[in-house]
Amino acid sequence: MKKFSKVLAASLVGTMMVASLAGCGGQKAADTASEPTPVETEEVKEETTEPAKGGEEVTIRTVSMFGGTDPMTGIYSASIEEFMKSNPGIKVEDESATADEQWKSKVLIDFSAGNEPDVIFFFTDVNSQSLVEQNKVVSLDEIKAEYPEYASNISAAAMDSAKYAGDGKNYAVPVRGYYEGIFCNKALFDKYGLELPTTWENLEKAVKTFKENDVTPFAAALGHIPHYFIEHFLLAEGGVKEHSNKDLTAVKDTWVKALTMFKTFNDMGAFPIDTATSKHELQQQAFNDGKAAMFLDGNWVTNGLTDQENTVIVPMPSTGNGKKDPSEIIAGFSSGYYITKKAWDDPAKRDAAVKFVENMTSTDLIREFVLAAGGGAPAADIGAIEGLSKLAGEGAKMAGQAKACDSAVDGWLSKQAWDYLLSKVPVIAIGKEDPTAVVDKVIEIQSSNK
Amino acid sequence: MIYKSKKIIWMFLLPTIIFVLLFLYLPFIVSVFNSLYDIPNITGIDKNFVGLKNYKDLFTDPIILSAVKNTFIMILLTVIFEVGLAIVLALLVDTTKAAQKFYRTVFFFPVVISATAIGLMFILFYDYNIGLLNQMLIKLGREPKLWMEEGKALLMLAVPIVWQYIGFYFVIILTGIATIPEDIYESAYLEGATGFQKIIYITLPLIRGVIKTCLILVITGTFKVFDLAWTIAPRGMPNETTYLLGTYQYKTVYEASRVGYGCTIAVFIVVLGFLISIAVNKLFKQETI
Repeated sequence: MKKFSKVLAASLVGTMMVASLAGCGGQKAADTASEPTPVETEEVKEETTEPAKGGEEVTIRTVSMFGGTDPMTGIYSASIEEFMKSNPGIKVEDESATADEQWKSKVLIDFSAGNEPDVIFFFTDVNSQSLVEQNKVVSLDEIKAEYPEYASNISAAAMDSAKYAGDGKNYAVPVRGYYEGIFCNKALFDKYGLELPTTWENLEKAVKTFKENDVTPFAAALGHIPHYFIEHFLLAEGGVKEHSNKDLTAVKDTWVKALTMFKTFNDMGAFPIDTATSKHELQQQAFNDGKAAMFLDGNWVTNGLTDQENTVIVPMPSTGNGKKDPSEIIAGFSSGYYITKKAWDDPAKRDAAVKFVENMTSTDLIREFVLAAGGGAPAADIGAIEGLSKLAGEGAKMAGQAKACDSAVDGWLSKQAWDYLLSKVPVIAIGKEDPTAVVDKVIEIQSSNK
Repeated sequence: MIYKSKKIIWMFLLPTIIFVLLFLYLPFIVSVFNSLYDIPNITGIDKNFVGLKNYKDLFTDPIILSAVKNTFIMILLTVIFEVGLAIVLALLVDTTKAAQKFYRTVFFFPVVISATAIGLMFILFYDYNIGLLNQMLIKLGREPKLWMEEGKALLMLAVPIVWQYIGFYFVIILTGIATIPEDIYESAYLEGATGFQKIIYITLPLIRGVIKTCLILVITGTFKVFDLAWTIAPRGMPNETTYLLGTYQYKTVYEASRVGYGCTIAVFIVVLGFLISIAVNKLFKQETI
């Protein structure tokens, strides 16, 4: 966790420096960031000259979460096209889709049914457990034994963060890390003479003032994506130390207080009237339309926020009990490219799959992905990058200044416990469920899944 | 008997039998088997035998009770409005022979639209901030409303479900009306019967069989409603109050990864559906006219 913070800080120094200069440029930084402009690397150019194995066309099937409205979709698709042009002997059939709970289940079912793709960009956390345990993906040790240069550009710290917790081995090649925070509409804060929510008092005052002035304080769809609020209320109450404590019984009090905040904030009018029925995307639109003052999300949403000049990002403040340093945030490496055992064991596909992953994790493409994702820690040394928006630059700065960080709770909480928690958040918010009873049940489910 | 050799009959039936066995009965048997296990992973690994525990949980699960209640409310609404409105529309359209094709096409059109597309459309109708309904209210100088609030969310969910399939039953009933011999109406005309009397004493009694078929279809069909409900109100939005049996079963398996318990719900749905089908068939036992 601290190790990740260090790599985050170090790797973002360049990003921050460029970000601070981004405003001086003539061209709008956000424009360049959102354009899918895959780069032809030296590596790729070399591959162009190399004929396909056996002279026959090889088709590999790929799956990723870069689908739908994901800001990475354009770059990802364009990169595949570029890869196929550079490697005429390899055809890529991509089946990417937006990552949600159903998509995760579909991927796991496909693997279980023997219908897995050849390469997949998937989570490295608890979601990957069954892929590893069923021996469906190949470890990097095995790949490197045959392809010594595989993932050699990826930093050791990034690889360390993307390890599978079960056996401490690397299976996925990470591309970029993420960070989360409160996106604030600065114009609305200025209009009502409010300080940014850097302290709990400021946050509470902002909620009350916005509510009094018919501005929705938080654009939130608690019935759809309460994920960010769960982890941030936990972080606000217990800091990284307690947020990362997987012994739920030991930190039960913190969890109860964190969940109680849903009711407290709901009673204060912090959430929109339709929070239980709205969709996260519609709430993002409400924030973009200036109908809501704050939006809790991650760096991937940065380029989807329309008013880049008037939007700022701050870490969730501490409740003031001394457990959280104000700079602590939710951040980490949680995804990467896997080569499946099925593709690895197929002599016709092995080379193509390795080439594909090497291409998608090339340092230049990682830079493009980091740009499109609005910052976030790059998994390789990408040096100083140009074209980061002002908001992305601020996000990178926030992440770089974090003294400690921890990855999201759903990265380690069992799916059953997490789903139960998600279901109960909107019910807790309206006071129909007791937070203590919910935490007890979460502990019970989590224990039974060990 | 047309065919002396039964081989031909079996030859034609075999593909269907294999299909039904593979995709209906086998999954059901596997579900019964899985319902006796705790399966915490969608991939089916790490399963533990728990006997009838899932069935005990089923009968103490408050959401199942709510889902059963909601499913029956939905059946009631579809019977009244889907079949009811389809009858009214069919009777009205039957009187205008010239534009029948036009109305058939217009009313049937929602049936061919994907339920997900209709769901997304209604999400945009109901949305509080940018929804069509609230924009209209605002234009009329009224306050926007929370259309999917807890008290009326199920009714709002029923609107697109009912709307989508009215056309389907409309076409069935209209076809039923078309089979009534014209000379019966001519006799009634000579007897001096009014249009209303013709409907009450001739049309409705003679399409009773068709209406019964529609009712059986609508009741058993509503039991399986899933896609539209899941698109508009996933996870029983708001606050777990709009779960139908299908949506709760799906959420339990694919979102909560409680595969064993999800199979228990599936078995429960099949048993309940079977009992309802028997009851409906007995209730609407075909009488020959």
